[in-house]
Amino acid sequence: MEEPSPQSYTGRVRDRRTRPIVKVVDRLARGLISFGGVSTIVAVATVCVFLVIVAVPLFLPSRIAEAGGSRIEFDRGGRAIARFDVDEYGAIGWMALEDGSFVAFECDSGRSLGEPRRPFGDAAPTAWSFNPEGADFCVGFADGTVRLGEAAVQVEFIGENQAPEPIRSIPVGAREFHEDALYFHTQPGQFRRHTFAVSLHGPLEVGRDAVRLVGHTVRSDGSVVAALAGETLTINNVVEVRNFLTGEATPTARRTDVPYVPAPEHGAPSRLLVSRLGDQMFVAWEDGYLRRYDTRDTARPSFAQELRLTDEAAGIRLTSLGFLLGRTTLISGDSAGHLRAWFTVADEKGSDGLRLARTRDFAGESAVRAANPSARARWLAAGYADGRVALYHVTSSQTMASVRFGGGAPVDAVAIAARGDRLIATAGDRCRIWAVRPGHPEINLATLFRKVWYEGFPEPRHMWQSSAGVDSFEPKFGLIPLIFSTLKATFYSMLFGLPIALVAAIYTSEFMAPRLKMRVKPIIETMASLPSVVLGFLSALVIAPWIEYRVPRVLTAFVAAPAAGLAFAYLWQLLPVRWSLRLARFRLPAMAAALPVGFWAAWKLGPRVERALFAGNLHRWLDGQIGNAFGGWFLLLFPLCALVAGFVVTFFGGMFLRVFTARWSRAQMALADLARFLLGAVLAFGLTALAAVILTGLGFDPRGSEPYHFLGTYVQRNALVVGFIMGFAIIPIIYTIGEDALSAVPEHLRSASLGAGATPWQTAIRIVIPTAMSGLFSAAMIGLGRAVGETMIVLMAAGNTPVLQMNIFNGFRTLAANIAVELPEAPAGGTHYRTLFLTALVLFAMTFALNTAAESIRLRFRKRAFKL
Amino acid sequence: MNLTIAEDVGTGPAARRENGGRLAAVARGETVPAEVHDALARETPALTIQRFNLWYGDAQALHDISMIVPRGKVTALVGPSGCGKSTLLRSVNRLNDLVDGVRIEGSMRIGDREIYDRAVDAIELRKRMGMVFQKSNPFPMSIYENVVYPLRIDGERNRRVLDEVCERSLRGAALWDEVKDRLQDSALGLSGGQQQRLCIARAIAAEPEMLLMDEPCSALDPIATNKIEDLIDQLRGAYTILIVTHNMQQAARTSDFTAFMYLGRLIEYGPTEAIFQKPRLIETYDYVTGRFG
Repeated sequence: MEEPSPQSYTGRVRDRRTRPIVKVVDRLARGLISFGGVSTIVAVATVCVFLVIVAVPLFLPSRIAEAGGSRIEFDRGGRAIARFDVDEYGAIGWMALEDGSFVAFECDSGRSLGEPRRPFGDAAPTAWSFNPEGADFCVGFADGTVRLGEAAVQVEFIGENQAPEPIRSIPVGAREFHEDALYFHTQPGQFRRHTFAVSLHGPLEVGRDAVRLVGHTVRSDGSVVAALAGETLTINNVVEVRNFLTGEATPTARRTDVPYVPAPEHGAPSRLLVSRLGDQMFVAWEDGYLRRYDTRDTARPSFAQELRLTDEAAGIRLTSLGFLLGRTTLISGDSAGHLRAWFTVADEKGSDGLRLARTRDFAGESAVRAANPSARARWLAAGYADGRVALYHVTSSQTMASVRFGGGAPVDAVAIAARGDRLIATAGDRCRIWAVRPGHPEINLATLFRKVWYEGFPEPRHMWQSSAGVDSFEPKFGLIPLIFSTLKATFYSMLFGLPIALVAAIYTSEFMAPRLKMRVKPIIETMASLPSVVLGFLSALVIAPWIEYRVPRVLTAFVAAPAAGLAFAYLWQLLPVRWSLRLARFRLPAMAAALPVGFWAAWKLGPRVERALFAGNLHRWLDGQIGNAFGGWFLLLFPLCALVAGFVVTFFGGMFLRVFTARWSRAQMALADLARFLLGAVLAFGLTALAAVILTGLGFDPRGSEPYHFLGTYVQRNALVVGFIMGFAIIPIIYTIGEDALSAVPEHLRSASLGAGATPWQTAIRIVIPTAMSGLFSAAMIGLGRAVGETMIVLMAAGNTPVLQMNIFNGFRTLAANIAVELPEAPAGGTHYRTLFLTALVLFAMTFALNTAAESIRLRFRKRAFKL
Repeated sequence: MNLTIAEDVGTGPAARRENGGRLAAVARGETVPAEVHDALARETPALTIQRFNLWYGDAQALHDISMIVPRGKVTALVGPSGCGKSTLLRSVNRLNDLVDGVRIEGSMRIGDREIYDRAVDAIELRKRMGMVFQKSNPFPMSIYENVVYPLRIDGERNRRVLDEVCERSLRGAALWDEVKDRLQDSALGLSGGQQQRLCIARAIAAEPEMLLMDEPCSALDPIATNKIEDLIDQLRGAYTILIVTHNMQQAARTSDFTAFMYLGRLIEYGPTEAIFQKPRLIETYDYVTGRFG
């Protein structure tokens, strides 16, 4: 045994070095913690980076580049082109020439696909009409007949055994001509065959004179053909009758003359177009004068409108007129270089309730020579006299790309492959092909965040509508309705949840017995763990239908329940001191018991309120069918007026009580106080009625469908329901954090206040709440953040209509719900998909901005609390 | 007041040792009568406590306390930690009501009003007693608002009245000259001693009948302590002051009467001079001379 050293009292010699294992563990722990922290940051950043990576291509410009081997010569013997088109893959181009022949050729080599077709024999058509998004066409002849037909490059995928013998041996990826068809060996055992076919229907007589202009559309119930023969404009409903024995189809037509007056001062009529549904017919003259005919009833066509497509300057000629995808929007091009988009919008002043309006104008430097729309999206290619070829997106008013023909030869025709990846143009004998990567031309910051004038709408507006049932539908990606809805949901749920949560927190922290508090707090916190999907379907399937026909009662309850509580508190004061002190601990529970009384009163009063304010039927009143604005203003202004009245009676009434009642007994004081409360109530109702009468008298109505209308048509799943349920969902989190903040106020401050003779209520209001303000504020902000990002409840209970209305009785669609609803149906990599990722970024930016603002305000509160 | 503490207990005629010592008896839970000096009988009571018992849950904190607090005098409560001084003090303005599971028995009267009568409003009661706590507790508000807080809660809005009370109270608490130029600054910017004097000013502003001080100097440095003691000296006569202290010197310097408590019981109570120089009980002598506690 070792002798203890003189310094040691314990008899143990202490090794003062740190053990190696401690150092190792220390270093290891430090490493692990750093790793964990850094990877958390990296993970969050990665999510953001990923969102950005997906969303950024939306804003990249379209690219255009010359494809390899893309300069070809094609001699058409100086004949004018009636139609120029290219197949979906951009492999085969074809044109219809003025003499009635159709020629098809391979784009990359210029080699023709079989002999030119001459379906009309020697008869040269005198008028042409083509559908830019389909195969159908219509031609008119000098003998007063028209013929419908189809011309298209047909693309088929065939197996190896279907392919002709010489083709089977070509390597994968190669192509080969064989008997008027072009074959691609796309993958082992699979070939793609491109053939060009023209077919014709029987002739149809539309007049005695030569057909000068023809326009047509093919509908499911037959075709509508408009034709100008001589000076007779007719519209023909064409139905094909098939002979069962011969199998021959004979077109029969019901012909109607259209009131038509020649307009020689505008030159000769040069274009005739029929809209996709056949409900509009347009006749344009050489100088850009246009007449619109209403042909919704083809048996009774009528003149609707006349206007100029070109500027009214001498010498300007209309050089091109056609439809955009959907055949509703007209695209006009003129010799001054303007390319303009027109569509009909509702207008009460129009003879048919419509008006053709100019909505876009792309100015070019030289005359427009040709314009051809994409068959899949609302962009088009235009060729100019100076050799320029440009791509425009109509809705977003963007010039996507622009290229120039070498030598500046005037462009004769342009076409876009349906897939949007190839652009072909011809000038004289030369054809050129460009590879196009259009990107997402429909999206830019303006279309996302500003009003856009969409086809068919009377004015530019904010709109989100990503899909519909028809192919020609244009998706509308305006984010404002979604952002607005998100804020609306947040606003209404905070309006409901925040006061309840804060009052509950104050009550628990300041007034509840600690033993009870220990039980109550975990119970409320458990509420937070209720899955929001449960709340969602509860609100959508139970609460929303329940509320629908009890709205007046629910609204009355908002007033009656707090009023009952307050009235009870004032009545309590009438109790003799002895009793009130003895029963003190039952006071607040008893006040809570007053609430059911309030609800009962609301239940009884609801129908009366409905009769008094909403003409007996709230739903019809909200629709604006009955009643006047008084009830609405009363409803909206009551809370505000109640606050004002409360302030007035507290301030002036309090002054009065202090001055005159110094010697009054307690009971007298309690009576005076009760009288003051009743006076306040009367004042609140009076003020509200007065304000409502004034506003109604001035002609303001809170009902309507504008964003600033707080009332409007009732929809079962609406902001009121969401406000309830989402309010309920955010209560626990606000409550918990708020209660913690209040409890964290040092006890000695409470003692000091109570010791100075303050009541617990005064202590709470004057000392505890101001001190805890920063915490309460964070609680509110965290609740806000929850409400902004909440998905399931709004998804299920908000009706998901992306409308831009503050109307508490209408639905909405928030950013989060929108992502949840639409992401599964958005094709990956598409515009819709990327836009949804962009909305996720916007949501992130919103919560980030909110949190940052909240944090800075919170810090300010905290500074004030500690430094003043 | 300067008192010198007796040097030798053996010669102190008033000191008596009893069998095994009173304190041991108290520790065993036996009932020991308090030694109350006759001088107290000649005083006018501001507060009368009779057979007062208090329990925190099952633990009895105060046993059978009977004493009076003389009007206009400074009375010190001394005793080792946990002897119930603070509890007794907080019972006077019913701050203990706020603690869960408190139960009392006995009587405590201020004037002729029974404090623990159900018909007495605790809020009103507290308005009559200013309280100064061990840890200075100014509100996170301006100096001005701190001082006028008792008036604010009574609904006083008249600026002139508030200004006047603020100045008077701050002068009363000997703080006016130090803060008169920064009344709107945060009270939390004051030093510890200033904060405590601010709390006293706040207590005075309520025009109380009684000042309750719970170890007002225990968190202060000697200079700040000195100032507070001077202040108490100035307030003597105007207010009935009940002060709890750990510091024997302080009790000796500032108080007129001293009560010695031990384990929730009153042991000896008398004029300060007598308690410090000629205590009747040897235990008191031991405590005041620092032999235990």
